[in-house]
Amino acid sequence: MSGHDHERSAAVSNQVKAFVARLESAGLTTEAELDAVVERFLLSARPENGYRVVARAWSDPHFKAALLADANTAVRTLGIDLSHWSDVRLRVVENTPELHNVIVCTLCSCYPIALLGPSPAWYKSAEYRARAVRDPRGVLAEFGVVLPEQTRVAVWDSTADARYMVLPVRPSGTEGWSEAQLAQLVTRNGLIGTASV
Amino acid sequence: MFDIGSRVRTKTRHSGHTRLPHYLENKSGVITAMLGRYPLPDAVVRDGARAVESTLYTVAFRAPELFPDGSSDVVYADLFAAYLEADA
Repeated sequence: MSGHDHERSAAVSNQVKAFVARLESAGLTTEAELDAVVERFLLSARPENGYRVVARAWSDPHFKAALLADANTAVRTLGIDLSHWSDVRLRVVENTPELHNVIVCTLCSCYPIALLGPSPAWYKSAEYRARAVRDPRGVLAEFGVVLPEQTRVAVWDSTADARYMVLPVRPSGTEGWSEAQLAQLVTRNGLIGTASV
Repeated sequence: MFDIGSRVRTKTRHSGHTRLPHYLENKSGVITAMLGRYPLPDAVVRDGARAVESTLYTVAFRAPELFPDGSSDVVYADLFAAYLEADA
């Protein structure tokens, strides 16, 4: 994290503190109440949600088709609640042997937290945000993912009201595996595109 | 309104708040999806809940045109109609 980022986040954090203090003094809320809201939110926002979605898509072609067409509706059928995103549109993009997808937010750090859990620090870093869009193959190589030359790379810049998740390629040798077994193969980086699964 | 598959050109960023990234200013792309209507962020900072809505599109850009020395093939970004004009 650069010094500039650090100073900026310190300034924002001071603004938030001042704002919370004003809300408390006006009797509108308390710090404990706000902490409870954040805790409830984070309890339901877990990468295991994304792993379940992927395992179901690998196992059920109808679910996969529905997921790629309308992800908000499809994940609701698995009981995953996206309501705290209000109008945010969820889109799932499918990796194939011919195409590898990478997710980034070049403007800030937009990310489907309900399915992936809190975002890793590198996802929010100025370096990833600048380089993922320009040189994704170089970034992927640093994550240990070396793509065949003929595999095309698509970068999805989450610039507005949609959030993106990658559907990785199902690993070979997993025929007949249960959804629970498949879910254990998936990683958070795989859902961002910086790991193959 | 733009149809899926139509060519568009992004405008120049204005000086205020916007969600059009610098690297996508004055670039040609193709509409690949229409995502619905959302409050235009450029107006939200000024008008809050009364901000105008704008149609949000996914636009595909040929990455080598954005970054001649880069390594991606295509860059998709979600851009509001207010940032786009028809490209001949």
